[in-house]
Amino acid sequence: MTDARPDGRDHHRHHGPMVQDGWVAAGISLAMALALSLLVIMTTTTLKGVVVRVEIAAVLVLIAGVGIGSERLIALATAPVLAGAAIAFFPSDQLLWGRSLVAGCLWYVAVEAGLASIEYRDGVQRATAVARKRINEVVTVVALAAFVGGLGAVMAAVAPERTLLMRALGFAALVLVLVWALRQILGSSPRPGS
Amino acid sequence: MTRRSTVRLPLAVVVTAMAAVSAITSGRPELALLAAPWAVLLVLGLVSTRPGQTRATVALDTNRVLVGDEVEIEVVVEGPIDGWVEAKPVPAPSFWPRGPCDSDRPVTPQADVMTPGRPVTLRCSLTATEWGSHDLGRVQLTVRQTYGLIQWSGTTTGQRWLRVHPTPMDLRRLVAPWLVRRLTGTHYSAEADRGIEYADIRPFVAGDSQRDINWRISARSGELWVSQRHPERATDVVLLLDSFVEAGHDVRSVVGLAIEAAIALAESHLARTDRIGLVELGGVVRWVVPAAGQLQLQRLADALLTTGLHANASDRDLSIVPRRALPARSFVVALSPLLDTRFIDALFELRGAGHDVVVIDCMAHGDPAVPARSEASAVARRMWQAERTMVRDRLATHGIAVGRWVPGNHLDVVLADLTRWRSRGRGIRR
Repeated sequence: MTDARPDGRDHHRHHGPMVQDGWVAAGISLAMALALSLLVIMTTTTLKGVVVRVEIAAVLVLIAGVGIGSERLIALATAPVLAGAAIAFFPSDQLLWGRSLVAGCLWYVAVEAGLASIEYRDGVQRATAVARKRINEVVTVVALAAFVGGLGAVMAAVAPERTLLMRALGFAALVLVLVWALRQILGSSPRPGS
Repeated sequence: MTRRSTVRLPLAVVVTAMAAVSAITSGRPELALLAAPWAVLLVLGLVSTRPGQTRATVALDTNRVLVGDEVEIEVVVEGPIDGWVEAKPVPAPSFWPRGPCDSDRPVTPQADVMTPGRPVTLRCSLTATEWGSHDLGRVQLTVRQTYGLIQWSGTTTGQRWLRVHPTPMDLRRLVAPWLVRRLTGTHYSAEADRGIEYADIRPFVAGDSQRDINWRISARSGELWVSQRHPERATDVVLLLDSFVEAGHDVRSVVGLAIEAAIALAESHLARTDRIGLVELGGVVRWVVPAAGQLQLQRLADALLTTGLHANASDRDLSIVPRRALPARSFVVALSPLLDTRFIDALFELRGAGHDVVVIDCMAHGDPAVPARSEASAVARRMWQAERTMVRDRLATHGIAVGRWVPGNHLDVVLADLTRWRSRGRGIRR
């Protein structure tokens, strides 16, 4: 690293109570996960027993991840949660745009809150501005997701029939985006920097 | 800095891919909305990634503290990344007392928001618990980009030295040297000349000052008598530090005692206008030429605090020390556990060369960690103690006083013992 000249400004910020923030984040994570599970269980019409078990397992894995401080365990809980939601929503005759969006947002907030509760346990004294910035980011993502979801629902209502060609084009676009994202991930492998 | 993805990035990719595949293959596009927040996170996070170099500066609010004082480390970070930065000081291993793991050490990392082009300042406080010269320039930095998909981590490489002085010791009295210089000071010379301390009387001779006439004795005897006094002189004091390493002892605490005593003696002698120097005899031979003044105190403190403990099998003696570092007629105060024969031989050599030598035995603070559970270990301990007594007696026969620093005693007690021993005329003055 090279040297930079400080600007002399005082960047002291108020540092909030980190331990309480960790408990609050863990509580929010659990609340969101339970809300999502209830939403999915109430929506399901078939395979209810399977969906209930899957959702309970996912919540337990999330609790375990938050409890022992494992980010990977929290991430792992995503698979059964969304699988349970997909199983619950798929057989429905109605279009469940709203419920899918709400379920996705609830799980996203649950994961972010769980990860935040782990971060607050590392003993780092964070300025209040950091917590505010994190909350702003989550709110921004949820708001944009809601906007995109609403836009998607409107477009789907007026869209032409979904032929195999349309699906293939959509799939190709998805693959391109994922390849680009994977390149970003692989590009972030450890390498000596400045 | 090393760049890597957090758990969010692969999670967002996998969730988005799974939801999109299930939506496309099942023909239920609303299933894709299960991953809508993750897809938005992915796009926002990757779009906000900025290339560029992050720079950091580390500064200390002071470069000298006492043991127990706090030192503040200021880290200024600047870069093109929008997110937050976390700084965790990683002091040199010598800064902390030996502990089982890092969690016992009170380091509180600091984190704050970072915006492109605007430096952010983070301040961390550390408490100095160990004397010495320590490098506090290493700081672990973690910069996390907005939306938390990518983070960069690295460690600063600059050096920022902090000198931690041991707790100051106030000495009420010092050991009076036998040999002094011709300069005015505060030690009473053995000669009789102008001064304050009464020495002797003698008959008046032509040339004596009228102020020196002792009128009381002159009136009784009917002849003129003059008083003689001991003049106050300064002296050269050389602190001889033993830095040979002997296995089986807590060398850092033994040398730490010696260094504490050396700094206390240096402060006290410099306050009495003496010139004081230092010779470190051990694996490395170093010296500081005697001088007076506050600057000399800083030089001595710097030299003492950077004392290295070296196990060295080669023959190191005082022959390589220049004469100006060990002036003739200097008062040598040796600080040693009296374990290494090379150091003990050096003491005899100095005494033989005409120096006034005293020894402060720092090993008296503790015997080696020999469990006295068996008869053999008890016998070994007695033999070891007998050996040490023999060494002290040998030194005493050559006029070298040895003061034992017993646990719990102040250094004043040791200096008083040395003064008492020397005042009984056991030494051989020259």
